[in-house]
Amino acid sequence: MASCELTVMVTRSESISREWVGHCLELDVVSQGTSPAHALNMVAEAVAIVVLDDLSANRDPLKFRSRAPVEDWEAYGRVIRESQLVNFSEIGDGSGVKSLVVTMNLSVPKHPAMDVEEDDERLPVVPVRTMAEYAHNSLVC
Amino acid sequence: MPARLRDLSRLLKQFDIQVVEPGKGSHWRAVGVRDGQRVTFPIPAHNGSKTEIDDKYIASMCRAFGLSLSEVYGMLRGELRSVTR
Repeated sequence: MASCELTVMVTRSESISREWVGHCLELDVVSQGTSPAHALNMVAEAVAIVVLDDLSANRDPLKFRSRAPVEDWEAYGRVIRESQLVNFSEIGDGSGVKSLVVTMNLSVPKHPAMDVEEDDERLPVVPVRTMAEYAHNSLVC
Repeated sequence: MPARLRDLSRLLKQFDIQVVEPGKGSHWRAVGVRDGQRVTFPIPAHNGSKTEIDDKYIASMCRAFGLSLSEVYGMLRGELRSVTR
């Protein structure tokens, strides 16, 4: 089993009312949902699609896909500096939250295309649909 | 400027990018070629073809397929009728 950590920024949409946008910065994958948790689950599903597509083509997604542009990483840096650590379950519908950062753990069966650090073989495969349940801690501002 | 998924889908076909509605899940798939390789990029579709797609997504999709963001927005606004090659 191989695993790596991915950074997901979740912010309110600036153009669509009551919509949240999730952005996986390492893979520059974006999705959206109607709440922070929904956006996070949508990003997890989108990441799974991208990773499976790349692995089936014998490509390492972390090498093949481009990272998010520098301005998105700078926005992430600002959130890190200005935020507080909370339990994800406290975020709810996102009232009073401008943006949050979540670390998502991607675990895949060992694949020759992926050059990631080999981890404990007891690490469970995380079902995509429950990724949000594993985001126990989030940085919120 | 957000766009409806169905409008984005029609636009992508002009770039020879096919949009596939999956049998399950909440993302459609945009399938195109980049640097000689077939590439799949998921499109959020939690509200079907009526889903309003955020600008942040449109920008990332353009980056994924090497499309001009200004050209894509021009086509979405109806200012450009076809792909400039």
